[in-house]
Amino acid sequence: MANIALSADGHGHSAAEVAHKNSNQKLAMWLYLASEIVIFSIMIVGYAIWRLNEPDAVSNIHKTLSIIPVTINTFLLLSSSWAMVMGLRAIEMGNRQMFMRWIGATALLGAIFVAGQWLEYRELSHMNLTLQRSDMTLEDEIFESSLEISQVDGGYEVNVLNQQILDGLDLSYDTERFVEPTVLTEQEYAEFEQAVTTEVVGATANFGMRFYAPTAFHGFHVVVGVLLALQVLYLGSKGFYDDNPIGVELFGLYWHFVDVVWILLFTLIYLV
Amino acid sequence: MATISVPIGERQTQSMPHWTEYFRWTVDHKIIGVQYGVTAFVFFLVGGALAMLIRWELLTPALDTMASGTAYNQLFTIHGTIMIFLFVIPMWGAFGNYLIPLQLGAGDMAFPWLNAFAFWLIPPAGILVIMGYFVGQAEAGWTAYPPLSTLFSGDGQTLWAMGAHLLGFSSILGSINFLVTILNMRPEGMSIWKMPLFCWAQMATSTIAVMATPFLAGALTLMLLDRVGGTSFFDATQGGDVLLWQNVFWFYSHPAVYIMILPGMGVLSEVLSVHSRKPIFGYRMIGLSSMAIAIVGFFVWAHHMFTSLQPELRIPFMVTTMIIAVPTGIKIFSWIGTLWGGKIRFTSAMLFSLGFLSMFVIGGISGVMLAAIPFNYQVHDTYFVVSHFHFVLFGGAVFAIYSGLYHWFPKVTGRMLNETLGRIHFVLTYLGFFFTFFPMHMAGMLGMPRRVAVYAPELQTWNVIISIFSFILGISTFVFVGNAIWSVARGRRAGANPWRALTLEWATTSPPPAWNFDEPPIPFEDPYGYGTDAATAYLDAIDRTFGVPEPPRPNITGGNSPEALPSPAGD
Amino acid sequence: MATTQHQQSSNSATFGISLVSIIIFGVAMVIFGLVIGGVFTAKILPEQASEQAIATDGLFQVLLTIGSMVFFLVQGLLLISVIRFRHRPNDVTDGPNIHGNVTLEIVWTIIPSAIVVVLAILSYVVWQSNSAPQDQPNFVNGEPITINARGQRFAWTFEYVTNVELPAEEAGAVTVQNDGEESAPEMVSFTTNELHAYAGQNIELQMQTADVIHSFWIPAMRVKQDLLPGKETTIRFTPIATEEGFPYTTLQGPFDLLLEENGTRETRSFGDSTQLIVRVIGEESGGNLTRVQLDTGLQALVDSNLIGPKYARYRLNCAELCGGGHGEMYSYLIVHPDEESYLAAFYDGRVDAVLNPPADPILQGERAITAYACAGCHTLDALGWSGMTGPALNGIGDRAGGRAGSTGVSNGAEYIVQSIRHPQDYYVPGYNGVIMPVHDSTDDNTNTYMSQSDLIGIVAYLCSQTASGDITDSTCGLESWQAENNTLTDPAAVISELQALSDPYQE
Repeated sequence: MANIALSADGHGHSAAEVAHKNSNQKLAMWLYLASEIVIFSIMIVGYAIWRLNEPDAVSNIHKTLSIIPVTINTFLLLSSSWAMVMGLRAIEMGNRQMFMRWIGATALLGAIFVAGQWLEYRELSHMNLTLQRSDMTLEDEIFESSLEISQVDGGYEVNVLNQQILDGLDLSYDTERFVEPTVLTEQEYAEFEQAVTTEVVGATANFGMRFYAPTAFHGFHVVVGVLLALQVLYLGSKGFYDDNPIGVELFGLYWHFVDVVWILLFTLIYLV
Repeated sequence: MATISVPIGERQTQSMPHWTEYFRWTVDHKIIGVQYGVTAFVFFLVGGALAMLIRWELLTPALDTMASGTAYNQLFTIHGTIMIFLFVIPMWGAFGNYLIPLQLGAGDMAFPWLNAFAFWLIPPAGILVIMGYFVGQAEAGWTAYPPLSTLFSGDGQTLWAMGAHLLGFSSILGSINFLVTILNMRPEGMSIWKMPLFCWAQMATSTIAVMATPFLAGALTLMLLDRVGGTSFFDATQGGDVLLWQNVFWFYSHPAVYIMILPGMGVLSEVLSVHSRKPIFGYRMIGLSSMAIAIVGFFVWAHHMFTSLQPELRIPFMVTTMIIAVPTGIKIFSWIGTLWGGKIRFTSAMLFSLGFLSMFVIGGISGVMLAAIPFNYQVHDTYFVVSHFHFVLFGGAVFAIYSGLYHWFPKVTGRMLNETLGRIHFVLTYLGFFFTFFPMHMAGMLGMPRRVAVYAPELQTWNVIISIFSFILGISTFVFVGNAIWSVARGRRAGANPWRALTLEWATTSPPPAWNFDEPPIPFEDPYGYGTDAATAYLDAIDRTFGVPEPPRPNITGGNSPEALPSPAGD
Repeated sequence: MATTQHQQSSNSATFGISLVSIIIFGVAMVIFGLVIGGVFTAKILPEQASEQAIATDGLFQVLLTIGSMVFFLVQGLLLISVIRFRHRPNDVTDGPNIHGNVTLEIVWTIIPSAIVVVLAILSYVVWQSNSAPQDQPNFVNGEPITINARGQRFAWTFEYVTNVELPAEEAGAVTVQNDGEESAPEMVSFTTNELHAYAGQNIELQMQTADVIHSFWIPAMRVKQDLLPGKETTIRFTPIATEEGFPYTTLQGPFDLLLEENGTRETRSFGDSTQLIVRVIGEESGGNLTRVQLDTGLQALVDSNLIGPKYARYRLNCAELCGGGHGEMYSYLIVHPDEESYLAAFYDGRVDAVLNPPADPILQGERAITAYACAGCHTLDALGWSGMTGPALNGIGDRAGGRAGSTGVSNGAEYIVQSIRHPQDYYVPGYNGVIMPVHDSTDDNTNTYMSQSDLIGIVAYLCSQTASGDITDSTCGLESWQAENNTLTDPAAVISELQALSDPYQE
């Protein structure tokens, strides 16, 4: 190397600089999302392990969670992702008006999702599902749907409609007796009631924190997303993205990520 | 390509920014770097003072200096938290911030604003952590195992968790910035295989930080929910699981050990090569072993849980833990290979790097011992472990930090640190460190658990020895502080390239101007290509462009000191 | 191993190392490793007092030997480098432009890999043999017993569920229930603050924690296992006779000690309720006197006839941070030389105390109180407690009466009742933020359950703790508390009066 040089000629051209900055920002966004994935994965894996250990409790819970509003909500969130794609496409083609509409739709759908989630939380909290360990009003429901109990002479007659409820009951007498309607003494019935309650409550009582932590954390991301969408909308209206829509693209990445996480959570918590 | 046409010495008169700049929001990576560094060092002094109190308490086997066991527990909790989250990690942030753009010939980081934001998260986080101390009862150690940290600790623990959360967030943002800068902002002509090894180390570090720190964030979120939200993720009586915390925490915190040591290894690769005037030995292996450590580091976490994990799961982690010794060994042998045949200059920077080599290897050996499960049972959670991680984090990270400070101080301030004081600092630190921490091995094996204020009386002798040398270690810090303060004002002018190093941060004035380089610099073909005519010519060109260092003043440095530099061959 | 490395490096002419120097270095390295491993293994580890310790120490010796060789190799090369390749004055040239050596790099990748594989296999083998279930665990009188270890901030308790059946009429009075099969007879069980074993007994502890994570560690046994909330963990070890033998003994009062301190001798007398654990050093003055060492490190002479059965004693630590009193959470493992002395000095007496409980509530209380975790936080010299987290109980019988007024209860005895049932109602000055759990009598499954009968005994016992040692000095304020020869004249009256006092505190 005889050619000793410490510096190169001139500076890069501005188009190249913009492209460079864009690629920087995209890489940073991907890295940020990677770390987000990790946080979510802790909650998702935590839920999944509990789910595997408590299949009975989950089937009871699924009976109580109302799936239809949530499904609609999910659909709305998915649509918002589509609106996002359309919005990005519009601004890339230079159509600012369409862009404003689509991003507006994205923000609106996101807001509706948050509202829907809020309503769901309210209903669940009426059912006594809280962050603390607590039994949902499930207990009564399970007694009603699975057992027929009537007071007779010398105790209670118990007719088990759903034999599954007997699984894992810890009783001092044999559960074979419940194949047919059985008369239990007061003492035996007290034990039976206690055991059923423990079995139901014990497993479902921890559902609250495992449900609220990931969904609320996700909800928080949607709220942030809606605020970002409004910001994008505001800047877009000023023509900020006309030359370089990278900001919209980055927001899009975030929004799709939030969407994908919801699909995972929805499948895991409400479906399986 | 253009050759240099600037008159000799024209750019020498660069001076540091006005001191008020350092207390303001600014997006200049050099100022942010100094902000990181000074903040971290202040926390180092605070954490060190706490350590002195700990050692004072341990002079006797009974509880005497501290008011209660809880007060003692808070001492080491805050000591550990400060040293890890508020000193070592931000200190590497300081080095990364200052050096990465310079070494890559860039004007600034990829995201200057984000950079400033990540820094300004640290002071409030530090205040939260320290408030945790004054509010009280943050006594669960830096590992904060529940249920002690959830059900049995006071409000200080909540503040502690919030502080740690903020620090994690800052670390993630900083690391994203580093990664993008390193991956996307290298100059033309610098492929990833021609990057300085410090950047390689920071790349590995940042990868770990981005992928692992969120685990800490997740775990701390759950802990805060348990503490203030009424959940019971970690409460076994309510359906939670205490091992969940240990698994998630160590899944972050073991890689975090590498977050703390890998940049130090990067510093070592720079310093050893420059100060022995010889190319780094096995560049690729050093770079790749950083990545190997980063990756394998994700699969060893449960060796912190050998006494709590289900027995059958312990074995795989023993194996992975032992494997990680291999890339570490590669680095150590490569560094010795670098020294071998070189022209070793015993500058303070070099002394601390040599100190790192000789101390870190002890930490490595005790690490392999700890991985052997049957022996681990004896020393798990004892002073043996305390000794091990101080050999890694003090003998490793802190020695590397000192080495880096001596090496790059001229670049940051434009002035050299005093070498005589530097050597006094090294001798005190080296001896103080070794005799503080080496006897801890024995104390641990003989039966001293860690985190106790009350211990078996027969262990007092060991503890008195440890405490006395720890005070020497404490005093040694002030030699450095005095040296730094004096040298900032009065030190010898460094010139652009006092060590005649080939990496790009030296190819500009000291301190560098705004945007670092007046023109995009062209890196030398090999960042460690010492011993060739081309390298000498390149270094001479730097000297011609930016000027040479002020010659040593005999009345200050004490005559013909060994750090006397080769004069440019052109003279 | 490193010898090969140097042979490899000598192939590269630039390194300029002669074969002879490599061999000298290699031999020195091996000798250094063997010497360090051979000499220091035993010196830097505590007594080898279990079978597990022998295997673990063997592994450690290998680790130390190899570790020392690596240490020698790296430090040696470093030292040679800095001396041989130091910068000479006026040398302005750079070092040679060498970028690496593939052979060498392969060598120093493969050799360490091979070493760690060997170490991993060796560790696995030792681990396997140390942690595998043993034959005849916890055998006493040819049959197994169950030992439950419990950690509670900040004390250890050990519950022995023996193989002695409880007589039918007594069954049900004991809190330990056998779940499951109703036909199973109830066994005698008792609780101690120290763990007892005999040399050669295969110990297997079922461990549970009452609150936070603790860790069971006996350095001399080389075993450690955490106690995890919500789980039961197991630890296994086999104490053996060591070279030190069984040097400890318990001096039973009354006795006189000839204390030696700073060259002066001083006789001190101890009352008949004193129990003092000392380490026997040797006989003097023709066998009439025995030199012993106290826990404080002081040495003393004592009449040889007073030396009772001897045993070995090892400190048992909590190794996982559990709160303010973590350092004080230790106890001892007492190893008796053989099964006979184990039965005579420990086991039979404890079983007998359950089968034939004493009438005196003070004696009942003295037994009952050791089943609780009081020792972790309180100091009580009579029982050898030294906890610092809570107020000391020495002389509590003198103070209780005075405290009654400031807490609004009727007398000293009720003050103690209140302090146990509801510790948060009154803080002793200087002890704000009480850690002590509420000991209620509602649910015997909770960790802090205390039965009414235990409470009565414990209150009587604490009332008897006066500075003078004379129980008539008690300020507990019970009318029936009258004593003769330092024993209660009417134990039954004291019990019924305490019963009446504590009934309102029964939940």
